This record gives sequence, C-alpha cells and structure tokens, in this order.
Amino acid sequence: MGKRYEVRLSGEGGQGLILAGVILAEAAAIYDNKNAIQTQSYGPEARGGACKSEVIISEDEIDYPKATRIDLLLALTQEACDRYAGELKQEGILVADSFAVERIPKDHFKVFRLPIIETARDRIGKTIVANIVALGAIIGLSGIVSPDAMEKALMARVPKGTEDLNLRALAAGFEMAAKAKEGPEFPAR
Amino acid sequence: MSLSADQHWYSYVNEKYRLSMLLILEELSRLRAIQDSFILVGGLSLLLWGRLQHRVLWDIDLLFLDKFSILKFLALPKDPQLDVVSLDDEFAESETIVSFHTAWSFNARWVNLDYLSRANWYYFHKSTIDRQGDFEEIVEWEGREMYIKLPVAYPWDMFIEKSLSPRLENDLSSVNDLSYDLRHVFILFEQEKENPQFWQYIRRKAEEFSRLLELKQRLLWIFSQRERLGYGHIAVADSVIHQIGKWDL
Repeated sequence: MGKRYEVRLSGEGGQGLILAGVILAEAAAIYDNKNAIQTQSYGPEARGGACKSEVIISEDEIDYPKATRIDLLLALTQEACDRYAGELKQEGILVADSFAVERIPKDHFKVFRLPIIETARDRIGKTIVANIVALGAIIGLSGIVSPDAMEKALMARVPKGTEDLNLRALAAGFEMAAKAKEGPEFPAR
Repeated sequence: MSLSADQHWYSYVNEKYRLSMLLILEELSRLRAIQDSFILVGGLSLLLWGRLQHRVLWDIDLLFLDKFSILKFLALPKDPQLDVVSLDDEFAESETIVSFHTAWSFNARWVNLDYLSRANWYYFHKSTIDRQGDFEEIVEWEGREMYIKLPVAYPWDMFIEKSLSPRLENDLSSVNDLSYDLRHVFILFEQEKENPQFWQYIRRKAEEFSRLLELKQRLLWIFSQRERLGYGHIAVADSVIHQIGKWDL
C-alpha cells in the first residue's frame, strides 16, 4: 500500500455505502492503527438518489481529507460507474457489480466485475448485505486493511443476532476477490 | 467526575484522534460563547453523557435553528491552528432538513463535523438543555487542561429523536441490522426500560411535541422487528408493550 489510498464507494441510497465506508475507516484506524477518514458529500447528484462515500487511508498523516485521485472505485450502479470511473487513477481498480453495471469505459485501470448484489441476495439471503460483500471484495483485491481488522470492525458494529450472517457476507466477498485475482482480468468494453 | 481514565468518555475515542477531538470540543465551546446557536446531537452526545461505551470513529453533529444561523457560525473566525475543509459544494436542502458536511482537524487528525438544521428538533432539545444545563467538564490530557462547556442533547430526548428519525424508518423497512440509530435506541432502552420516570418523560415530551402517536407506532414496530434485526436477545416485557399500546387512549 502506498502512503495514501483513496477509496470511493458509489451506488444509490439504501445500499449501505455510507456505513460500509465508516466500517472500512474504522478497520483501518482503530484495528490496523493507520490514519483514516470517511466522508460523504452531497453534490447535485445526491438529489437523484445517487450515493457516494469516500475513505482515505494512510500510513502517514492525512493532510487533506477529500479524495483527489481515486485508487479504488466500487460502483454498484451504472450511473455511479459512468459518473466516477473517469476519476480513477491510471492503474487504479474498478470494482463493478456484474449485474447492475453493464458498460465499463475503456481506460487504464484494472476492472473486476463481480456478482456482489447477486451473492448477497442469493447466497447470503439478504440483499442489504451487499455492502459487506463488497467490503470483503475490496479488501481482498486491494489489501488496504487486514482481513482481521475488517472482521473486528464489522463485529463491533453488528448486533449479536446477525453476526453470523454478516461474517458470511464478508467471507463471500473475500472469496470472490481471491477467485477474481486468480482469473484473467475482465476486459473493459 | 468520578470515572477513572479508562472509563471516561474519551477513552472510547481512538487514541490517534483523541487530542484532536478534545481540542475541537474546546474550540466549539469557545465559539459557542460567541454565538450560542447550536446543540451537539447524535451519537457523540450519548457518548459525552456516558451512555455509549464502544469505540468507533465519532463524528460531531451540530444542530442549528436555521440555515442563516449555520452561515453566521461558518463565518466566525476559528482557531488559527484548526483546519476546516468543506466536504460539500453546497448546502443539501430538503423540506425537513438542511445539512452541510465539513471535516475539522488539529494536527492532521480529521474529525467529521456536520451542520444540520431542523427547527422543530432544535427547540425540542433546547427546552431540556435550558432546564437542565450544559455539558461542562475540564479535561486534563497530556499535561493540558481543556475546558468544555457545550449544549449537548440529553439522552432521553435523543431516544425520542432517534426512534422517530426517517433514517430509522428506512432501516426498519429494509431490515438493516447495522443501523446505528437502532443500536442507540436499543442501548438506551436496555438502560432505561425499568425506569418509570423514563417512560413518563418520553410520553410527556412526545405529547408536547405532538408526536406521541407516531412514537407509539414506531416503538411498537421496532420491538416487533427486533428478532429480525439482530436484537432478539434484548427482552421487551409484555408490560412495556401494553403500556406503550395505551399511550394515545
């Protein structure tokens, strides 16, 4: 990991992306002893139901709390992909939901199209944990926080009655990332 | 305060961010003495009053009467050592809420500070603070004394506000077990459920606020869904349900 790593989680309201950003930042800052800040900002796009959450993680002090060059973009809707893919760094990582995002712009970033929402819905049995599946995938692909820190941060937020469900969602994301890293990179189209 | 350092509210603020958080609260205390126009609400208010004991990345929510008060506050000269960055390009405004997000930092340890305006909730909290007083404390940290004196929303009022929040309604509809509003509601419920004064208070306050029926319906909804939401381990006595059920009769 470089000194500063910028993550943008994007999609639509109700997908739990703000909370996913919070948990990612807590994993980094509280359990991995890094510096982190999570922000959500509301521009004109928010009125259309779009949602984005940003997390900056750094080994060093964070001199500026807004994302400027995105290292990793999660896009759970086509609109989010269209809107934000252009802000990804060269050689950055785009993680797009394979069902919701059909068109991916051609550029010099790595693309992983993963069945995040489908996995949450069909394998875990609850669409709303797509944010946790996505976190597992992001961490598996980028290594920005340790899996142990992520699990601790998640468990600190989850009520006793749904710990197992959320851990399964996170594990499914890790697994998805491991498989994606083994396979050929999905071509941009 | 009789709490030991490891039980103190700030022990639940991540070490790296603790000094920055304390300095920001001190700065807010100074600014409040110049312009008394906000109330500290949200999860941090519950932490300050000793009601939450878990470690997360805390943010600061300041509730104002209106957008004009926020603009006036934004224009106040701040401590030269403080960095403030606006996260939003403009105010987010709807019929019921105005918000503006910023990040504040001393020593590059950033804390989110959100400005909110909801006139009715401002008066809702202010009436209690006017009666019961500010949160006031001298914190000694790393050889430095910081004086914090702030209008901080009271926990019983926060129970009502969080129970009635539109965000919690969405969380209930989508069975979002990770809802922090829900978590706070259940924590406060566990702390207060045997306390008759608590129930009398929230009933009276919700009635004064013309939200009693809504609160009744919301609490009954929350309790009926608690198993699905991961809070099945929290016992809710039949007498509590019965008591709430009679609120509007």
